[in-house]
Amino acid sequence: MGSGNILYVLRLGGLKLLLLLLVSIAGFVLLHLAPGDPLSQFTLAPGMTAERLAQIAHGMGLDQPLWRQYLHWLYGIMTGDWGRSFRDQAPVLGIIVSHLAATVELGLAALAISFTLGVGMGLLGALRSGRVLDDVTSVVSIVLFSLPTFWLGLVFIYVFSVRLHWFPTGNVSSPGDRSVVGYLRHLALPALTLGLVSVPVWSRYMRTFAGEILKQDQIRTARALGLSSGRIIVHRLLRGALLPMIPVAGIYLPTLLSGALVTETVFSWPGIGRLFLDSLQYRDYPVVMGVLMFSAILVLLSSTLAELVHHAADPRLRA
Amino acid sequence: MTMRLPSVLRRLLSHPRGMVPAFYVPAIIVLCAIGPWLLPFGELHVDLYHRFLPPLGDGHLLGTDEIGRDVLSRVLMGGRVSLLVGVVSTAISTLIGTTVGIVAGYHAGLSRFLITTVIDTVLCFPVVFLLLTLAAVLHPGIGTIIGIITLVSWMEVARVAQAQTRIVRQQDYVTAVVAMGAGDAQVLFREILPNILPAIIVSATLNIARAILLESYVSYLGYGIQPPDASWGNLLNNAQEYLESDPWLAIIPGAVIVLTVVMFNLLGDALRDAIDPARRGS
Amino acid sequence: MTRKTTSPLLSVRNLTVSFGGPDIVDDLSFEIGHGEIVALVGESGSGKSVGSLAVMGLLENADIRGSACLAGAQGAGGDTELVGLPARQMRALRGRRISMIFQDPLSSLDPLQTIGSQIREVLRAHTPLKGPALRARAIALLEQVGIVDPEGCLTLLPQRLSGGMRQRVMIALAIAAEPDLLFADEPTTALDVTVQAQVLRLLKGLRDQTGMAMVFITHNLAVASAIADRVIVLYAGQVVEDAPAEVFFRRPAMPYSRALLSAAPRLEAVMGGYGHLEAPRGQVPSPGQRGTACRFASRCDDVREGVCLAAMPPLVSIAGPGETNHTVRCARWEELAP
Repeated sequence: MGSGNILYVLRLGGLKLLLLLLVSIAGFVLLHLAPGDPLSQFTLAPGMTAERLAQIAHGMGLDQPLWRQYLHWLYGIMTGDWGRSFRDQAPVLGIIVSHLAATVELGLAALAISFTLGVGMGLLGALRSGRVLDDVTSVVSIVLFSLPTFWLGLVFIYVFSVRLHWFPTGNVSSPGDRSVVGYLRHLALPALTLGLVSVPVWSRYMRTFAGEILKQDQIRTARALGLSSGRIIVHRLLRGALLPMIPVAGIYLPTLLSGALVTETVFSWPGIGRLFLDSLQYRDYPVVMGVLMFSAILVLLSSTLAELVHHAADPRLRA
Repeated sequence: MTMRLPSVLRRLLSHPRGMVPAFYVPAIIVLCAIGPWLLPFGELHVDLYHRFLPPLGDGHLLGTDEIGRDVLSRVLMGGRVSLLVGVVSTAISTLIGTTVGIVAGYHAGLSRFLITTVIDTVLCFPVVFLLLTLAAVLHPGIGTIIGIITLVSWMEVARVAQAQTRIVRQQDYVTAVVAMGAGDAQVLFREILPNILPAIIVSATLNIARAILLESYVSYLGYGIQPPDASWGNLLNNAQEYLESDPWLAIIPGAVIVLTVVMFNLLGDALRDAIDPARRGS
Repeated sequence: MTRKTTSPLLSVRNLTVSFGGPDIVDDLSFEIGHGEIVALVGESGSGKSVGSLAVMGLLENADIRGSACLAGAQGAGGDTELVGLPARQMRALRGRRISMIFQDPLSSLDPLQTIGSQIREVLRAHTPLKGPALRARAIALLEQVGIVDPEGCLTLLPQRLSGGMRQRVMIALAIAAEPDLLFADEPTTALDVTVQAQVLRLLKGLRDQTGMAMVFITHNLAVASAIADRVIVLYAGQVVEDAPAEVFFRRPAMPYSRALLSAAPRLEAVMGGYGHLEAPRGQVPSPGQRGTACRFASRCDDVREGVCLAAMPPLVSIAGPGETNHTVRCARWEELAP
């Protein structure tokens, strides 16, 4: 790695840290705008007095100036003390981590579906540029882009569960059934829903990138040199178009998380999204803020990772 | 890229991908605007003797819901709200986004850095999470919805405006105008704005589609337009309960959302191609 | 290597190409002998590139009629008709028997693969070479095209090379499987003048070494004079003159050729980069507006109402007895002969 690269990584890291700081300020402000005082959970406790309440407020640091409260909160975020849930006093970070697996599994399954379909569709459109199949794939892409996730989920439940009885209507497992097949049957519909609505993220970029490569002389030259079309598609087109897709993966995560929230709600899938919505309903702001911070950190990390991978994988960027 | 209206319209209407949405969009707006007055049932008219009527049942074209309200009336009334949210939030965010984008694109330096950093910060949050938090923190209602959708939408316009402004700013003739002593205002209004307008219009059209979709998410999840008022999103709010027995309650309003959002997206794409035909296919 | 073969290597007969509209190339006929370097000269729009791409089978959505017959490989016998050849067989011929290089070597090479990897890719497609033999052959090829540090070059990406080096690499790729015929489409146009001369010398040297024939497509008469054994002038999709180079540059028979030559400054000066076809006044008629008369008539100083506008003049042989073949498409060539 050359010194240019180290500089690049440092600059990237610095910018991301700055962003994270801004994100935390935004989060802290939001938390304070929220109706409902952190003390409200104690006011109704039996035998509560104003003095006792003031004591608790002091203990929680609420009598301090706002900037000190922020620093304290920030320190907690950095040291892993993300506060406690209003609902059951459980540590926020622990609650989030316990809901993480379900979302990750759903997200990976959806990613596999949307990536495969999206890359395929984009490639097809580029190879048949200006012809019927190009129009078809781009209209399909627009339709998928326009589908409300919850509605697609409802339609799938109606068709595949209510009518055809192929898949269960929701949840991770049926009572008494712990088998892998049972789990996969529960995963199928939510993954398909989330996967399909995020197909356009990939297909549109793929269509653009592959189209750009097909316009280059190198494809014609490769054919003139007698390379097989299969080799040209895989080695030149796919490779060349997938490389710039790596940073797209970083953009993709926020889309996926937003989609997961709605999908998990429709299918009663116990992931981060459901946790967020439940916490919002109970006005459990520490958890709400925790999830927001957590996803922001995840987004920043993943986009940084994607940029680094792109930098390492593209020989043109490797100085 | 300059825009000449007649030729743009001709190109837009020359292809079904432009023609269909160019007719659908005004049609759905007019339908939602005057439709509810023409229908015999008010959208809030409860009729417990005629609950869960299927489409075409007993004078109700799209059937009735769980308390016997006419679904067609509710879809059209919901359309008023959803389209209003889409159009108004887009109008405001286009105004903000264009202004911010031009400022950031016109002069390199601190303002550009600050603006891009703010945009990047907000984009760190998944948009639906952010919308729901804001909706929960603020009082629900149509103004709130418009406000928060604007808050997450202006950035897309700002990006487009910024990129376009930078391109125009670097054109030789703009440099020449500046060199001849034109003031910033003159350059902005005479050179920059007319040239970035086509891209802004396309971006705004796509933005309406997105805003309608976002409203439907927030309302579906219960943080948007509150019942008994209708919006396309909150019509689906209870529909999952009745999915087994009365699927049309979910399918019909959803299909209307999909159709409308598809049409706005198609219109945006077709406008882009019509304004800049050379771009077609790329 | 012997060049005394009677039958031509490539024989193009009445080749006509259209893309669903008017014919871009129409009724194109010419022959390329074994080991011969033929310059295909014409202004843009004359059909020289489209015709070559058609022969290579590299045009998509094109309607191609006529014939392009490639003589069998030495000892193998059996000619191959290239027009209408199934894609699979055409691909097997490309790179192996006929190959092509283009104007811009940077965009012609894969920006993501090292030079070595791209050479190996072509060698694997056409030869059974493997492992160290493959590498040795790649190095030998780079040496053959005059790359100073072939081993170092193997590990570089195309964008790290200079324009001339890139075109040398491109040539190495094209001759990797020792084709009998190389189409070179304006291969020196994008290069500096000094580099141009080096690449021309390299191509000529390769022909002398290997006996590979070459179709050199150019709009630059100076470049054509530096490399060609024979010159074929195309105008509006047709051959208008076909002559041995020494005859062509001394006494061209077609008014168009003369106009081109006189428009270009003296050849020495021309090598300095001024040799681009300074076309005579007017423009080449576009494919839809070529009419039935001589296509050059509207721009010709020697046009004569009755003769030139009556019908399309045929391509006639004007070589005297014992002279090499020389054909021209002009109704008045005899009167106009100097």
